Amino acid sequence: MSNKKGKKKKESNEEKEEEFIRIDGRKPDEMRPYKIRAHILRNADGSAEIRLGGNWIIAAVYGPKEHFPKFEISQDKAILNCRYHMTPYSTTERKSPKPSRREIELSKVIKNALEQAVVLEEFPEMSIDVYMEVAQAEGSTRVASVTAAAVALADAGIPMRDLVVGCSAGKVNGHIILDVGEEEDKEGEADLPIAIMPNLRKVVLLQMDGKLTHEEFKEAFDLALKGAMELYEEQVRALTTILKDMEIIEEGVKDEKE
Amino acid sequence: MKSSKRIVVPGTTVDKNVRYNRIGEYFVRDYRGLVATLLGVVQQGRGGIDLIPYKDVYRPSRGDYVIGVVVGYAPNGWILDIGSYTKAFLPASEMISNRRFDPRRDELSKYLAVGDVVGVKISDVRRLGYFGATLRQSPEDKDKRLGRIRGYYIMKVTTTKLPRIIGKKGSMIRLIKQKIKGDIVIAQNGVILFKGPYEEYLLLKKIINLIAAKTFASGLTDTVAGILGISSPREAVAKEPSKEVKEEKSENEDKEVNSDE
Repeated sequence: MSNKKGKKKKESNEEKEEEFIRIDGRKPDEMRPYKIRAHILRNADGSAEIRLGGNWIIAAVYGPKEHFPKFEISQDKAILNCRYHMTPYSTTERKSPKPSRREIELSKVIKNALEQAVVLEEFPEMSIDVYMEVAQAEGSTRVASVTAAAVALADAGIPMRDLVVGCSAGKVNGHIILDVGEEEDKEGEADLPIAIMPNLRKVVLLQMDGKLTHEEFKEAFDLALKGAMELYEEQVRALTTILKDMEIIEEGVKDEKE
Repeated sequence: MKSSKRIVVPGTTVDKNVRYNRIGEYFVRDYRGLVATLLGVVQQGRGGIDLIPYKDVYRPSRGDYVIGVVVGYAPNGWILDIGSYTKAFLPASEMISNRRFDPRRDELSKYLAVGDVVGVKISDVRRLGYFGATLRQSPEDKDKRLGRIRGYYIMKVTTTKLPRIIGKKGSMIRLIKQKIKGDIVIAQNGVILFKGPYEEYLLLKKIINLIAAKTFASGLTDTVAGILGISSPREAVAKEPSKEVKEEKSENEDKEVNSDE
């Protein structure tokens, strides 16, 4: 793997990457500034908000509750309903509020991703509703939505095997980049959104738009994983802040300090 | 030191080896070891491990005293919303005691209408379908407020906060009842009822909100005593005639509901 040729190639690549500065001034492996807040809505059972660059997504959770219509009921587990929706004012041109083909697809892939994590067997015949509202869009909204939805589910007290966190990578002008923005998504050669369960080490969402070689794919995937782990830490921080506001004294931590 | 408290999020591996005598709810076991499924605080000690969740869905068990709202009629009874994942069914025969319920003659809304608040006991919990509710009193709960409840202020908290509102061996609620004059009813689904002057209600609400906001803090009893203007809470509590104290929190609750008559 690390023969001289490879090393040289790598070095030259790194040099190139150092020169390459993205359209918004970021380095290739740099995330946009992000912030997650949990428990932001009063009336929903659980809620969260994520700001990832220009993205602003609000996720809310209701349930578990009785499922309607009754004929859809699953006897052995709960049904997870996901709705990804972009508000009319989320884009530069007004978007029709009617669910588009794209939104229906994203709702489905997000549902498939979250279903892996939620312990649905605990609530047979019930349904859990997850609403993700994109208030402002700037590329990579599907992975940001998954990230916010997982925090909202945890805030609602719904048992989960692991959190779900997403991040995207892509390719612009021959460079592999992390956290694809809107311009890069439109002009770039490829786009690779992924969502993972970081502790279970499972990939729950993986889509690709455009063309990547096998090596490029590996590189992009690793980069997206790195971004996801960064966001995971933010998720944990957002969740633990709610509890820290309750003035918990962490005895274990205290002992370590002593 | 084995006994420790720490914050966990869903998916946190609490311990790689599962070697406890007693494992609380809210954990899953897989190749990662013992894994938390909810956001909360994990407490270890005395060979056991427990997770105190930040929020939880109320899962009733048989015999729970709950307060619900009538949300609909069935041909032979009422549908109650008890704040759980599914609703409860109260048969009409529970309200009509002296004769058989006759659907042609008896108008259900004359007994209980939609919107009425009812205190019931859970008689039946099945895996599927509604919970069964009853008004039948057993000797231990002869003082419980079963049936229609009127003229109370209603408050609601997450069920995970109830143990703190009641306190260790009922110390917190006893402290509150010392200063706040009125009738306080605590149901196991997190509904708290209060009958008394409006000022007292506001004070009670303030205290409950404080306890709910600082569920995991230590020394809460002292803080509450400060608000109530009691100088030495421990003595005040000790002055109360000692009652039989059972370990189960639910039974503690029942006791509190009873003891205030």
